[in-house]
Amino acid sequence: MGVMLSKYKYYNIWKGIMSPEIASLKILISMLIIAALVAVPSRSPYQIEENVDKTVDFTQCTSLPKEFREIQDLDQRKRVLIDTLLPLVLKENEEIKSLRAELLRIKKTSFYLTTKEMRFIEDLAGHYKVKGVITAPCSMSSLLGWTSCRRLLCSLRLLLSPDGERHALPSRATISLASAIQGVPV
Amino acid sequence: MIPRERGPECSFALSTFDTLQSCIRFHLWNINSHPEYEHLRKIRTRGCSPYNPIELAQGLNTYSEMGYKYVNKVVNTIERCNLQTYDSYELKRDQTGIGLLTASSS
Repeated sequence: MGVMLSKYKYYNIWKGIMSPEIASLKILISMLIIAALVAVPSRSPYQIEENVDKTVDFTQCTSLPKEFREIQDLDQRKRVLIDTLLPLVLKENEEIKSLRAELLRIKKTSFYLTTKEMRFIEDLAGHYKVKGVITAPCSMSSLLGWTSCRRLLCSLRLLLSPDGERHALPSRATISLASAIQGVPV
Repeated sequence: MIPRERGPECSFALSTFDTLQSCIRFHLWNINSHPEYEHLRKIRTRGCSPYNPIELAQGLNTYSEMGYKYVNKVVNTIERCNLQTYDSYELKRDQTGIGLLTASSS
């Protein structure tokens, strides 16, 4: 089934939930996990030993080292914890960034969505619990705080094509689309 | 998982994970999807990369019952432990390949 949908509305959904790089979030994640596992002392600050090239090896750790609980020195515990978690957080970050890159690729390379592209977006929307991407424009508008997309989506819902071809949008929808895109910085 | 000593008036439960990776994945997904983190996401949307984790932490006020006390705790720990050092860290290049679904490969 061919589908003609504006990539811009999807882009803005994801703009709402996924920023270009969530590098700082890894700090946050590390923090949350640290807070859960280690009592942070108010005494000497924990100083990170800087890696010269600032790269880390990814190793699929399924758990913390067995001796973790036996480490008495808090600084050393943090070191072990961060050494273990950082590659995993970075890996997860890379995956999210690659999904975002794919979304941006879709946005840049095609004005209308293919079935595969639409499926990809729908899968992502489902994964991130973005409800009503296609069938409930009101809820998406609410999610985005972007009221202008409602009219656009209503128009686009009528444009689902039964075959695999890409079609030009009718003029009325094009006007709606242009109107929506105008207010959305790329 | 429900704690054995959870009071009858409580409704919380704990999540368990088979691996650390799945725990982190869940945590990121939660931040990117849970309504309670909408504030954090809005802060993130308003900003641009590289993001300021101190600013982002303000969106964690509903993460804990402690509210903004928890936010302050997170901020203090980030600063005291100098965790922002890790913002510039990356995986080694040959290890960034991913196997997730993409529109071109699906």
